[in-house]
Amino acid sequence: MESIDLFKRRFTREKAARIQAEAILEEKALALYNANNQLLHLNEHLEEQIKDKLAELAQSEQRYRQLIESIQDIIYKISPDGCFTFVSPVVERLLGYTENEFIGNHFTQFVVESYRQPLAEFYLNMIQNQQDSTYNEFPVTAKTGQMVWIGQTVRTIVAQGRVVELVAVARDVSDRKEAEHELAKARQVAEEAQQAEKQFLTNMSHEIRTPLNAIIGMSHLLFDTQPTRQQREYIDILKTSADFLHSLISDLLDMTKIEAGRVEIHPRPFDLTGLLRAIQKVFALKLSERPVTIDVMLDARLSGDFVGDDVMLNQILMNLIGNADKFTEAGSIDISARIVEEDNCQCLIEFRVSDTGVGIDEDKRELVFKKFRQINPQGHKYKGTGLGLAITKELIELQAGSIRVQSRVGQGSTFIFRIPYARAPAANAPDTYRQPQPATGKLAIGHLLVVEDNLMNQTYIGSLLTKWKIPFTLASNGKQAVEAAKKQRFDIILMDIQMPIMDGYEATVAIRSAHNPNQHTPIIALTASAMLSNKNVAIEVGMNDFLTKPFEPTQLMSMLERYAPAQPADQTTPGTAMTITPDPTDDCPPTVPTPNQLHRTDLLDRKRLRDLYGTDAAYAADMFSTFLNDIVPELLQLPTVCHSPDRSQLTALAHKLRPTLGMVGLTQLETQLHTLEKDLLTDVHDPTVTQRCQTITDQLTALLPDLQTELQSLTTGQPV
Amino acid sequence: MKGIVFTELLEMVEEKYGYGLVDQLLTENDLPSGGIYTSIGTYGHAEMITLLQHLSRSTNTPVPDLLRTYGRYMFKTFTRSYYPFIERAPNAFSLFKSIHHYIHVEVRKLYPDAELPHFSVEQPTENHLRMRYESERKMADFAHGLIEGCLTHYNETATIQKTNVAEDGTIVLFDIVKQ
Repeated sequence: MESIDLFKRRFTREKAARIQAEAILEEKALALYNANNQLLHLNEHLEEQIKDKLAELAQSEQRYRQLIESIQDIIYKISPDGCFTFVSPVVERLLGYTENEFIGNHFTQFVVESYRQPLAEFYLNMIQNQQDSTYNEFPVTAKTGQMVWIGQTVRTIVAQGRVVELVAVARDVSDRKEAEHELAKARQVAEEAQQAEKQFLTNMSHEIRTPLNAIIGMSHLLFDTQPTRQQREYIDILKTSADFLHSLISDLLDMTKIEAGRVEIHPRPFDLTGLLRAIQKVFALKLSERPVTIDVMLDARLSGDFVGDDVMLNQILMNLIGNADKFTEAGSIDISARIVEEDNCQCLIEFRVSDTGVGIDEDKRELVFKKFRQINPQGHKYKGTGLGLAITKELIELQAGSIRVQSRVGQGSTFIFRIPYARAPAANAPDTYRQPQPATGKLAIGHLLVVEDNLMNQTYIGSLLTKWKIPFTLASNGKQAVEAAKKQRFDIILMDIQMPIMDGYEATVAIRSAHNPNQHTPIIALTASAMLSNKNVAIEVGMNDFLTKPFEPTQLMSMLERYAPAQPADQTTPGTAMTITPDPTDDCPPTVPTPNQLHRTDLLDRKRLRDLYGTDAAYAADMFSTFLNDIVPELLQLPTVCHSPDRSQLTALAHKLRPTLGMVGLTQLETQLHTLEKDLLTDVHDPTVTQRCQTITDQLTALLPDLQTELQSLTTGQPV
Repeated sequence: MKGIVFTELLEMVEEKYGYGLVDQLLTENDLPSGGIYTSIGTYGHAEMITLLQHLSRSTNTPVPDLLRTYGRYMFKTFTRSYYPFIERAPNAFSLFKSIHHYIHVEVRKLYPDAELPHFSVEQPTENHLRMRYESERKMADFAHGLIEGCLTHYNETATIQKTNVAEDGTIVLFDIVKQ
């Protein structure tokens, strides 16, 4: 019975345990089922995601391919040894070769031969310097044989401190290269056309002015042939018409040049007061038969040279004074100049040209500077192009100046203009304008050389000179002129520019650059060209001045007066004319020397020079010329030679050069060189030697302008 | 405590003393589980203490001896039920070394609520393995039996030196030296 109870209990326990286990298992199974479901879901989601990502990747790759294929630019990679490792397919469209024809091949195979080396250097440089990115251009040969210009940006790919490959984006730049080439060609054509136009203007100006010169000149000469009253009247009309035609052409040419922007300022040192006096003289002669006086009033501070375009200033003044002359029946024309502002050698100079002429209505005052506008109260009495004042205004404004006008009808007009000029350093001012000789009534010209190919012009100039009783020699071209210049010394040479065989520029260069009696003779260009540039070339080649054809007798006279020597070449008499020292009692003293100049002149030992050369100026000139050309360069070597360790060279040089200083009156420097020699004898390594050499060359350099002036004075016979 | 510890203990008691003692243990003690155990269930640790104390009294055997005997018995059960874990180890030391990092990790996957003792192992020489037992349950004697069971299973002989690190028996050191 007890064992039955025990079994019952055991059975009950085991049943309960089974139920409990089943419940737990059920619970576990459910959890497992749910976990499985969850896992399944996760799995599905993961698969979906993988599918999406794969599709995305494929799409991205496709896009990248399309991009590379659709880009016009070639993308390529090359290894550091220069072989292609990748080339985008577009290469076939641009160069005809397939990608595979590039891969593994060296770049030089495709590059135009002459560019292979530079390109190889370009890559090498990029690799060596690990340059980040660089652009270059070179031509390659396409499969068709055609040359294609490639422009490329190359980058280096660096790994572990060295370049592992080069990646480039390259494109066909042939069109741009072609365009550049075309542009350059077009530019050249345009420049040639512009040059041709300029040449045409020059030629036209020459062609028109040359015959006009003859007409005007002949009309002048006709007056001297005792014409009848009627003939005189006809000649008068002839002359007036020709003058008018001349001014018309000049104005038109000037305006054309200004509008084309081809007028350039050529600044150089010039004597402002001299220029104003010369202009006064020209007009004084012209106005001598009319009741009009011309006066110049100058600011005392205007002495000394100024730097500016004197040719342009001359033209401006000529235009304004010419205008005043035209509108003034009687009374006066006053020219004045004064400094209104001065700052650090920069001067603003105000010029005034006043007349007592007809004046300008207030409402028309603004119009006077306009092109083709003429304010003629008396209708056609005053003829002209109406360009004169417009040109004047343009020329002034070109030089950073300004112009205005004050006027009262019936009382006259005043044109006031201001132009900034710099003061020229006194010592270096070239002797462009010399003080004209005081009008003594008779010109002291011994002999002139006239170089002119045009027979009419020869006749014109010849007749004038005969009339003024000035002896002259004629040369028909530059070559003849150079030959004539070798044979005989002339006081002045009048030189045409455009001539056959040898032109005036070449002839001038030939005369100036070789030893001959006329190496320093003033040469005046006779130019039929109105081009300012021609005038400047004339000055550059060594001509002293120029006269634009056609010119009037007074203009030629003024020019001759300006350059006439104190003593003419042919009338030289020993003992009187060619003294080395200017005679203090000379009737025609040169410009009053400034204290500085006086001091410098004293540096030349006059007594010694007189003892050496007496009155033989040519001999003296020769010695001065040799000294300046050959000895000076050697003397300037002193400080350099001084630095050489071998002092015997310096001793030899000093000994050789010392006597030459005395020959040109540099006694003081001679003494210094002598001391230097003595120093070298006692102690070769004397430290003061270097300083002494420098002092000597410095002083010599400072004296050079004076020596040149002296030489010029000796050559021209005119004391300076 | 996992149900298997209860069910296997009762199996052993039944095997050695008959179901009568099992019935006595389950009937005479006021057990919260009502004496109904299934190997996959989980029951209070205190019930195990109660059963062991009762068994000790009834059989006149000290609890440590009971536990050690039970450990040897239990390892045999393990070799049957959890053979995959055992067969991975080629010898006893290798199995001991894998307890903490492998077997207990896998057990936790099967029974996330299992409360397992912490074992750390060091091997000063090839034949000497030192195991450190650590558990609030203070059942180092049960572990001792298991170690002996394991050595028997692999047919290995070794001396086992048991040293209490903590007096209360929560930390115990076993020095196993193979012969």
